[in-house]
Amino acid sequence: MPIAWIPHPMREVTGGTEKVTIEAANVLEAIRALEGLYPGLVDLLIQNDQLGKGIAVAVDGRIVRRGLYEPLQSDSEIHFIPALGAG
Amino acid sequence: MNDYVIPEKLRVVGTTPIRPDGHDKVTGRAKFGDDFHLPGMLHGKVLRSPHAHARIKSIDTSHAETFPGVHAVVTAADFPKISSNVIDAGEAGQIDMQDVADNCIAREKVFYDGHAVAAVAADNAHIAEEAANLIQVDYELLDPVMDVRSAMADNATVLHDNFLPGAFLAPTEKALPNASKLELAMGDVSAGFDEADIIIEREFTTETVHQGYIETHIVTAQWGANGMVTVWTTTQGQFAIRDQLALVLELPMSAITVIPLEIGGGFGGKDSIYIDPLAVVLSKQSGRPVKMVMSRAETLRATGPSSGTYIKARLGVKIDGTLVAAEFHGAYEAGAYSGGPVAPGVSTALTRYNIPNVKIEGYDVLVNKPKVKPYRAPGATPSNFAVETMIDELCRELKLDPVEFRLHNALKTGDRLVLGFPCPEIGGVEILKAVQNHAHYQSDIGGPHRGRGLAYGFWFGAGLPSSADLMVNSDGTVQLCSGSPDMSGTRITLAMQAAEALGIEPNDIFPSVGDTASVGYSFQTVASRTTFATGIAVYQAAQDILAQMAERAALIWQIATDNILIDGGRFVNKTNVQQCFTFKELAGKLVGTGGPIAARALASPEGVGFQITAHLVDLAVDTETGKVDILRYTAFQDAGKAVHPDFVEGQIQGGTVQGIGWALNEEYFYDGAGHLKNTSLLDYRMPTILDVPNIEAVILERPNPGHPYGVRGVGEVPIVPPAAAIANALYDAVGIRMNTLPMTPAKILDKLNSITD
Repeated sequence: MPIAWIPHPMREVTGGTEKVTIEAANVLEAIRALEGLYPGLVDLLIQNDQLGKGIAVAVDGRIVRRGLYEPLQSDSEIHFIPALGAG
Repeated sequence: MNDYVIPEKLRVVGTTPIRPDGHDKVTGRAKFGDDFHLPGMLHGKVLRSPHAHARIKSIDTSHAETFPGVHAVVTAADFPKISSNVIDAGEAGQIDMQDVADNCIAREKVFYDGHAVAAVAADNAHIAEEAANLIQVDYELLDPVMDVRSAMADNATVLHDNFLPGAFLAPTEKALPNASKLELAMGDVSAGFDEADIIIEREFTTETVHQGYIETHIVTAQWGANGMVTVWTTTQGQFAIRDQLALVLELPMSAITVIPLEIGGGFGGKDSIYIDPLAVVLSKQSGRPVKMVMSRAETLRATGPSSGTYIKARLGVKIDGTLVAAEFHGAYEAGAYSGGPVAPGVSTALTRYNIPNVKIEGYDVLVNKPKVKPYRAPGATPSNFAVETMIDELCRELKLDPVEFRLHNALKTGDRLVLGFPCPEIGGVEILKAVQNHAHYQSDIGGPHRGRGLAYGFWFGAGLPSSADLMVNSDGTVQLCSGSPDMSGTRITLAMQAAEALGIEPNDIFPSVGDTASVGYSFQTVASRTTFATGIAVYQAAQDILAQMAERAALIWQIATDNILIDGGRFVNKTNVQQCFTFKELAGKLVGTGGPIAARALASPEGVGFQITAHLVDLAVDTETGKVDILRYTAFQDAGKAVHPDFVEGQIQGGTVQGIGWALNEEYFYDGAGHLKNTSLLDYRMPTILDVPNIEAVILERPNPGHPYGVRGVGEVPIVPPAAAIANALYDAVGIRMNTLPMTPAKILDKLNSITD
């Protein structure tokens, strides 16, 4: 099953847990599954039905363009990371 | 997403053909912003705030409106008051358009010296300027907040009463008066420091700097009789300008066409609107096209520079040179509105080393300066300066060779980043070994007060959306149109990738940059992404062209398309290999076999190849004046695959020289009231050709599997290590450890005096 890595600032909500195995077919389902385990996470990650301001998501080492709708494989790793600008 | 199978031999990629736009640019025929004129055109000028922080009590435009030759006067009251509207800026996150609109023309408060307050359109620029100066603005002065530490103090003046922290996963309550907080961590940093034999902690400051593009911001706008708006501008992204204009002016995106002119430098600073909406509304009010040209002083006062910073860092190392723990605290100026480069700045601070225990805090801090904008690897130069000078200090403390130390700790493919995920293919070890084996590293520096410094740098880069159109002409030539403005020779690097894929010569491809009405959406030319991401769009369009042409060959030979072999620009009948068309021959048969063919691709590639580099510098210090002379400079960089090696070299040299300027000279000088005092390039001192030797570029190629030819971005990382490399060379030369940028002669003399007192 996919593994969601919990960013450091969110670990207060997870009681320090670093990574969580969840059943999910895409990133949105993964966040909903995390919310079921740790209520409050969804408000940190999603605003106005999209990833929150300043947040990007990496799946299997790639910062993905489909965001919440990126499909997950059974062995996928999900990381919520700061959005990185560039010049 | 699968990795590409990169061909072992490439026919066009890796060569150095002449760029098609080069002749026009060196002979003055290319059309830059100020070369553009329309019949009946008016000229616009902006009235700017003389105060760094003030409330606007009233604006009286009556004298300006009646001034002879004036056709329109606008203030914020002439613009829609938009509700907060956040737009997606890709990997850069989201942009609050209310802030963008307010930055273009102040509504209730001015937030920096030079903030636009009103604008005038007149028969010529002189009349417009004189009339603008007749506008009476009554201000209530407020205390300016000019640096990150005072802005973060408990009793600091608050810039925006409604400011909410916006950084990465920040709590929603306001933790500091003017700052948003970002945190990253891995491992157990406390246990890591317990394990360390040596711990050092240092503080650093860097000043606000500007990208220093030679062409300022220039725009011409025409509000058409049918309500359609056309804008000719010099920009890194015509679609970004269109979208931002649409949101700020509450117009449909399709009602605005933005036509990109040639661009005289951007480096991240020409990615958004400033005078553009003013020109549009002035045109609407006057019924005439309006051109606006920012002066150098306006550009320095009122367009986005890069952040000044305050950094505090702690490193822990074992006696064998193993880095075991690191803490990094970086406060970055955001300028007048939130959203500076804190995330990439702090995320790249340590990323090039494999350190198991890391804690990072970043702060995006509001100050009364222009809203900062990206500048080549935004945020990474200050953080690299801090960490790489500390690494140098540790190497000396441990008596370890600086390359060996970095090799021992280098981030390798598969190591986890502080962002959490494993590092993709990266050639850091190869870069460091290339330094070790290079004649520069092995040479004797010789002479008194001479020193050598090394710094190691990293940058992520980005993918983001790109489009490309290809159309095959009946003579076998091909039109290539992309949505990516050409800042660095990308017309030819895109044409070369098309030629490689199609099996034809690059001079048979005619590349152009399309406007927003004629080509598919493309993100800006930023993030070292054009040759990489738009190159993938070109490659995909070329595959479509080849498939369509194979169908035509199959039609002519009356065989199944599967029986067509495409090999190096030839289409061969596999069932009868005597039957063969060259690309040109088959192109000549398209009209008679169903008509011309074209292809469009829109790509949003995710297989970004990280950028890694090492810079080695020799310098001499005049101990009487503090002047630094760069004697020799070698920059080592992994290009993945250098599509056009001359242009990769140019990117490395250009970025390095900008980094040298950041290191030694460049800074914004503000007085106590927040007025910018150095508003010309005489006083904002960028390096010239007389200040730097030839920068030797050593290009390594560890292919990026996320691109069909192995390309990585190259444009940003060269600016990352120069400041640290020079600081380390200064220590080697005269024994002073600099913790502030720029390292001016005065500061160097102060340090020298402090160690000899």
